[in-house]
Amino acid sequence: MSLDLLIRKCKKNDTNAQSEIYKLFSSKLFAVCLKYSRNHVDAEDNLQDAFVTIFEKMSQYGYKGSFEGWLKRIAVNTVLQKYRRKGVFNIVNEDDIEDIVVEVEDYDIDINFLLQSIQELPYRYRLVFNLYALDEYSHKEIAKMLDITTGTTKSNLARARMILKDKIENYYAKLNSQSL
Amino acid sequence: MSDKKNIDRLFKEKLKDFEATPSNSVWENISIQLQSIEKGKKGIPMWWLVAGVAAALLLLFTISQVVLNNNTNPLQEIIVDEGTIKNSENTDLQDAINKKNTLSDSGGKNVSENLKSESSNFPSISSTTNTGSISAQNDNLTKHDNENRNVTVSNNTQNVNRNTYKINKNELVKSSSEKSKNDLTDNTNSNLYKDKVENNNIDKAIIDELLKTVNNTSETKETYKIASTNTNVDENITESEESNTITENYKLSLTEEIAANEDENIEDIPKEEFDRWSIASNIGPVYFNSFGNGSSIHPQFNNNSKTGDINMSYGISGSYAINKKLRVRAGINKVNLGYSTNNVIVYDNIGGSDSPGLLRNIKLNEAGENLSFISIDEFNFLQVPGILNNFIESSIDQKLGFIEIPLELEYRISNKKMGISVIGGFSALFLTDNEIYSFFNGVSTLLGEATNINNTSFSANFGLGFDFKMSDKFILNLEPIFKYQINTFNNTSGNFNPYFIGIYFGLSFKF
Repeated sequence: MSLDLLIRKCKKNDTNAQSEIYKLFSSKLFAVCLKYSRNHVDAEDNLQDAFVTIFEKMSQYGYKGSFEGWLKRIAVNTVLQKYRRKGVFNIVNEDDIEDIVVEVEDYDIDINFLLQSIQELPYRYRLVFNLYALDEYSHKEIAKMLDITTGTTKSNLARARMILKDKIENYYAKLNSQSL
Repeated sequence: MSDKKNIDRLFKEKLKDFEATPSNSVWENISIQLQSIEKGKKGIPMWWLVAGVAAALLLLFTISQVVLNNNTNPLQEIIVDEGTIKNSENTDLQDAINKKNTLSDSGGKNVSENLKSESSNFPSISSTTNTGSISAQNDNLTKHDNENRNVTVSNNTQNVNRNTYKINKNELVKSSSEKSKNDLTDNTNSNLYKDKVENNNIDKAIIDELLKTVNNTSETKETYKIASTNTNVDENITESEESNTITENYKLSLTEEIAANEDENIEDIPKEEFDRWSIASNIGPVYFNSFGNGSSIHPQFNNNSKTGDINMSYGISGSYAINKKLRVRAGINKVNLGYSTNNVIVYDNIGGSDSPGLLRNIKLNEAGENLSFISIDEFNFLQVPGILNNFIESSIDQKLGFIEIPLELEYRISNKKMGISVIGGFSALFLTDNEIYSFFNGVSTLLGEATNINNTSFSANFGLGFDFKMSDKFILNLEPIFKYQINTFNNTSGNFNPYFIGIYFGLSFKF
């Protein structure tokens, strides 16, 4: 069955089509949720909410742009909505830090470790890093999404990078000490 | 092999094609949520909840009435609705119609099965919507036999209380409710009858014959809701406005559903598979006490303070999911209960056989046969006969053990990782241990057993269930449940209404 047909059936709340759509896209969207959430359990909750929204709003999908992109946007929005509901977390020490370039070595690094490192970031750092570094939103867009200033998004991003850099360096250090 | 890389790029590249499979429970929960959203659009769940709670209360009330007071037969309390039912024949008639209807339902398609299962889940539907009346016209009846093909139903929405259902040859009776008329007058549709029979001068035989002809109309699938056991018709009369609304909503939602079923032929959609069966073990503390002042032992202790004991209950249960929201479950538990009657003076009453301290509901053993018990309140102004060798302010501790067989319904109200359910039902309790202790001569001594405890008794149960999915198969449960005991004790004094509260922890396995 073509994707278009599935989408059309989904718009009529066809249960089989919904199940097919889920099968096709759940692992991709779950990856998104895992990156944006702090742990596996939250990620599953977010995925669940995202799909419920997707099927509820299916009729609004206008075939503009890729379907997958639309799905991902809903997944990200689901996470952001929860963030907004929780209110803005005042992260201590929000002095503006200028955009810095952080470089790390690239050995054969474990993907699960990278994921875990993102998940362990403070809430807003994680969102900002995901949105900017992985999903290529601009600071301006992110600031609007999170209802903060671009100064804050920039400083959050810089801090997120620093934390991640530390984690990666520790990871390598551990790896080296083990191999010695 | 290693060069410095921008950290953003590192993450982006590595995680670019990252995919992960969520656990199966996610889709399960999504489909449940979607289902309830669908139903929500049709306005059902709100009153489902209300009806569910009402049904549970009605069930509890009925059980307690039947068990507590065998003389009162609730079936006799059928109240005549504003004189539309005038002879006692109606009761029989309604019974007959009910039976007939049940039979005629059995051949129904998915639609009528749906309707039926809804009504059986929530018995109150039939009792609260039972506000109309079927008028079988006598002169028509006598003329018509198996040729009857049209069953027409008119709904007078202005006065749902007095809906008249006319059964005659080919005439369609006009209905002020277009929607219901369209559905109900069409023989291929499922008809919903929810009313009483107005019958002043039709004898039973004619009605029976009529019903046969109705049943013979093979295309007609009917779900009759004529409750013969309607114990609260009189309430309905006073609340007729409200119940009319419910009736209307119900009718509308049903007709919508019927229409939907016809459009999309729901039968063709394969059912989503999920684990219907589960077994669970549970263990938890139970706290026993009673409402009101009263004593199961002797009237003199009515006002003594009572201390409930915390004991353990443990057991296993099995459950079956009727659908994704509703589970029925049964099990077997061992439960120990106990409470202490405080401020009791225990004294050695050598030779004093007719002392006021003898307890009418206790059979004392050797250790206790010379002891008398008296409430400290009475002691002040009572001449204690016999020689008061030794008296101690003590307590009478009653310890009971039961094998409990619960039968309960579990209705899920939340389906996230953490699920929440409402639980209601009843338990049969079989007495296994029955002991009376008192603290005497420095130790807690077994003094005998109570004589007024029924070997079989019941409890009405109501509680909440919280569950946490550990994996697709294993679930952790926490269930605080309140159990009101119904006829555990005979011959109690004062208002002795025992209950127990259990906080059950469990692990269940779905398959």
